[in-house]
Amino acid sequence: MTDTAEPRLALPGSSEGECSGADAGSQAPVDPPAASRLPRVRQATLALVAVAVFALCVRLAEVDPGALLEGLPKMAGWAARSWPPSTDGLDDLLVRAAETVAIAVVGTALAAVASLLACVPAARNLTPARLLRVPARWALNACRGVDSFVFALLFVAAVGLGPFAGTLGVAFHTFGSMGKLFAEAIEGMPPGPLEAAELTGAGRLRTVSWVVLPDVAPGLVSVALYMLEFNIRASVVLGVVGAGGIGQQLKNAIDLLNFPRLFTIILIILVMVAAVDALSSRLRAQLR
Amino acid sequence: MSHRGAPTLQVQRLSHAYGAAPVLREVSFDVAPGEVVAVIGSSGAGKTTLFRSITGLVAPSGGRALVGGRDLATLGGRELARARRQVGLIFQQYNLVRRLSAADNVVIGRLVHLPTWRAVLRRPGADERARAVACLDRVGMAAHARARADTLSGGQQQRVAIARVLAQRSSLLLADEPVASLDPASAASVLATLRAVASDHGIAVVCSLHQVELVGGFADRVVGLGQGRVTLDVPVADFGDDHRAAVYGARLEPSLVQERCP
Repeated sequence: MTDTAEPRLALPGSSEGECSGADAGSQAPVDPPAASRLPRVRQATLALVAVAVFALCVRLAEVDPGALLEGLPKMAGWAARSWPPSTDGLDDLLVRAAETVAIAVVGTALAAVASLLACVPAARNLTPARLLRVPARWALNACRGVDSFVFALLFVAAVGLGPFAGTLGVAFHTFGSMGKLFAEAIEGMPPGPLEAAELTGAGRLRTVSWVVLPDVAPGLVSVALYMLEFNIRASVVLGVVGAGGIGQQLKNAIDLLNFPRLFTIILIILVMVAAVDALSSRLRAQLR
Repeated sequence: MSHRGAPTLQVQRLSHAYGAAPVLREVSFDVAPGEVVAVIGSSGAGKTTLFRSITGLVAPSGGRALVGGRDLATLGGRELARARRQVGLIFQQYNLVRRLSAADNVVIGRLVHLPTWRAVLRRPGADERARAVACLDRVGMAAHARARADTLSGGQQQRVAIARVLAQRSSLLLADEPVASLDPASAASVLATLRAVASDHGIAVVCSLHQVELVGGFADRVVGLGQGRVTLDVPVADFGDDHRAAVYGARLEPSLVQERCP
């Protein structure tokens, strides 16, 4: 497996080479590789292209400072009208906030179970065969490439309005990200213990549960908690497409220009996100 | 120490090359049950390739290595897995699972024997646990059975690795530079453990070393490798300074190297 390292070691007298290098300090310094410096003309061309692409992007994004200047007083007026925050229907808002947390927790948990299964075929050191690994990677990348929001839209159509659609949306997108991060955690583990276990004749399943999982467990839990933090924030907007949680309330408040209620909702979201982040980072600090 | 019966390991005119560069050239030697052979030679002499060829990890370009009469390089699938169990390996970096206890690391030597559900749930059961502790006891590590591997010293970890090979019930133990990362006291205790394991259980031990001074009192025989060839094969009692020079070459004698590379 480390075959490529061997021929260098095998060259006769290679240990002497180091010595002669040490007393050859008077030699002229070696020129830096030519590839590291671009000619002036190419530098200028590249800079020009970069500026042109950026200008195009600004145009496509319809950047309009005038509109922002006009809109700012409007927003300031909203801010003024949103005080004091409304406490009407606070209990319902809190239930909706809990729903958002539940969507993130269950969605992340489902994704974690699926990722645990998918990361083995996706990890290069466990699955050297490209025939299995490449499709596994593709599946993960496809799920990662489609946002929870888009998945939630699809699932609202499939299973109906409500938090279950949101949960499935979160689960599918998170599966893609988490499976990839799990596979990378496994690829980063030291190869020695793995080889030692494989040479006892133990199969893939046994090696994974005795060597891989114990070694990478803290890393995987850390990734899962990080994804949970991310998903709390992602779940907030799911309500906008009718996939449950506090996002629905947020959209209603904006549509009705009910700014005191909007202010309360934003406060609840901030507290909720901060609380989960704090809890999660405390848990992660305890992993060893 | 008498070594009777058929040799556990027979290396016969074994050659290996990486591309055009020959690494092993017609290496031959036998190791009997219970015999300890120290393989010495400078870096790049082909020690690691020799070990990998014996395990069947690299295919030789010529000759063969027989473990218990079987050539691992010609086997595949289940047969290879079964034959490899005969070969226990000790590595320079111990290769224990850092976050498992010493006892669990020893159980890894017997994973193939666990029922699937016990293996998957990592519940080896009382019998296997007792067996693991017994193996740890033989290397003087029973008191640390529940300690996590990464809390143990290097010498202790290496002795746990030896216990893992004992649990595996190998007939041949290959140790590739097992004490290269250890302080002298730990190195001595690891080599003494290897010696005891060989004598008590009739395991053939092949151990590569670059510290020549450790050979005495440990090995029965010394095999020198230089540029892929066997340059020396003598009983340890006959191993002397002139042999040392033959293995490492006069130009690379330690004192000279020190003068040239301060």
